[in-house]
Amino acid sequence: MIAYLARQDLAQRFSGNSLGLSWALLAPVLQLALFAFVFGMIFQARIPGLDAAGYVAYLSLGMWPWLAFSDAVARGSTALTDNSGLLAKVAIEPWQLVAARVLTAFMLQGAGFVVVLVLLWAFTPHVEPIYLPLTLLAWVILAAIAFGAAICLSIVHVFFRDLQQIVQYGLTAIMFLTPILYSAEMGPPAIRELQRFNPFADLVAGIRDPLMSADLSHILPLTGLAFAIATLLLAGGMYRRFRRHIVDFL
Amino acid sequence: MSEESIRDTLLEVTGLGKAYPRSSDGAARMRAMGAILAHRPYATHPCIADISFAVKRGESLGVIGENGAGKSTLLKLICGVLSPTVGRVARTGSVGALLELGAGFDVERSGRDNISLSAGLMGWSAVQIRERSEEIIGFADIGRYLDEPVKHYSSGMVVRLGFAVIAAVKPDLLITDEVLAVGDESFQKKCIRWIEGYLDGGGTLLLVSHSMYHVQKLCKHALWIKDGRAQAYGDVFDVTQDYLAYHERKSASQIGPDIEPSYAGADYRITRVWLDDSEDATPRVLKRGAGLAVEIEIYTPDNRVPQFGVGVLRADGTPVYGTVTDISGIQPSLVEAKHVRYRLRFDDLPLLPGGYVLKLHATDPEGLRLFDTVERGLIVRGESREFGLVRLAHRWD
Repeated sequence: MIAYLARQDLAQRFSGNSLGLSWALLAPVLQLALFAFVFGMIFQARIPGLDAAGYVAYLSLGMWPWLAFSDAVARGSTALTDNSGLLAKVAIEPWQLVAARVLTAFMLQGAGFVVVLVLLWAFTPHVEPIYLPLTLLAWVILAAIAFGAAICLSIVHVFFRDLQQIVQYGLTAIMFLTPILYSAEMGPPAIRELQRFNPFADLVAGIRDPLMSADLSHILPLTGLAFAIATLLLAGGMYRRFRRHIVDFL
Repeated sequence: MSEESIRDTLLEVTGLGKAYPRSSDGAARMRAMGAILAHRPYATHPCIADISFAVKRGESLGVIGENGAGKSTLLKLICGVLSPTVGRVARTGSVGALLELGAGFDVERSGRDNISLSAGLMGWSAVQIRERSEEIIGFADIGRYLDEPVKHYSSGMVVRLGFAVIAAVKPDLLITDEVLAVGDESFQKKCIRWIEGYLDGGGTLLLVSHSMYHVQKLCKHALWIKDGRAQAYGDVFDVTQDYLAYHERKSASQIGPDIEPSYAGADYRITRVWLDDSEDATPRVLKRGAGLAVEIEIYTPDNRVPQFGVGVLRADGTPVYGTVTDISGIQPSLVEAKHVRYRLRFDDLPLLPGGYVLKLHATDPEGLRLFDTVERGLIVRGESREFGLVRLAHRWD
């Protein structure tokens, strides 16, 4: 059922587009070109020890996992309200609609990640795609957090429609607070210490670092894992509590 | 209940009730969310309450009632779209529901896409959908519209598509909400033929309809929901006749009583009424074709003999038959001080099943002025799909 709903979600996202699913591959190429131009040439942003191409690789390998997470949470959190018509007429478990959206976000951005990885591997000397399988655990944990958070937020969104604005702001805030655009070493030591407790820093590093520098120190992202378990427990509790009231308030 | 019959119960509804949140503005929603978190109740208004029934495999139940009585809510609870506030719905087997127009359809997409969409929601795999879609398209028979977005469809075409999918899925329990009313005559016939075949093949139907003809044709039992509660539940003919009688009474009461107020406190008064020797004033239930004995006692202040008029009306006030004693030159059966009694017998009433009113009138001895009227309800029970008020004797040559 989730696979079916995910297929419908994809069809809906790209319905009316003449290029359809090709956008999933084309968009990352355009985005990567933009990053290279803005950060590599205009900003001349650098990470210590890396050249311009190295910075673009660093940025991109952290950015795409984040895009997957952010897309999953943003779209997942409105999955129930967007499908109110369906939920009011067809007996489906509401969590499946959220799961389908998280799944499509990770599939699309995951595909984008692979495209970007291949391009970086072809045009820069900075990535080691051989380590890709070792990043799988971090991906799964990231998706689990996205799913748990989307469940909680989608339920709250049923009762509190203003949530959408807050979610957008929150996601932007987390992105800037996580070493994606910069490296943790660039900030003051106190901030560097705090990053040890940021599950997203842990997970982004778990995906980016093996591929960037064969740095395997984050391939077992325990901070991320602990946060994922906590999020899923909260989501499970909220879902059980609210399940039978959801459709009444849609 | 034996083990056999328990296993064969496809649907069992026990003490079912549903209350909806009272208000849906922002603040009320927030309060409701807090209340749910704290395990406290929030402000609701009841929609249906205390409904219990069971449907066995192969049975068919018609659900009838006025608009807003709670029929659709009941169906949504049964198919699991809504969760009950109290009570329980126990189901076994697959359920296919056609709730409202185009449930689960995406109006932006073509009819062809929507076939896959709604079959997929009923649990079909992509392969199954591909294999059966020709059959569904054939049943729906909407021609060139198939590849147009559903938003361009008429309501009849939406129902055609929805019913075609259901017909292909062939669920154990089929729930339809007022879908037959939308299709045109030929599609209705097609649906009814299909449903009859489905029922003959052991299918189970829950039909919401305002057409008593369809309910009587397709269902063995009926449930009448009134103001969210079960008003009557049982044999389809009994329940639908009570329901129709209720409507006829309702429209009659809107027209108003036809006795002039000047008759109140009349001199000649009806003091006692017996129907089949019973003074019970509640509606009398008769089997179709049964007889009826009517006895009436009239008070006469001047010891003159008042006339007695009797009329049978359908519950909505349509006269069926009436007669007065002075037409027949009848004298009272019993005369005592200031009281007279008349006795009248109808043999084999030819009334068709339904609700009727027996009106008994007392007039002055000249039969000119009506002094008093007493009404008694009559309910004629029986199975019939004939139309009208009375059965006219006939034979087919």
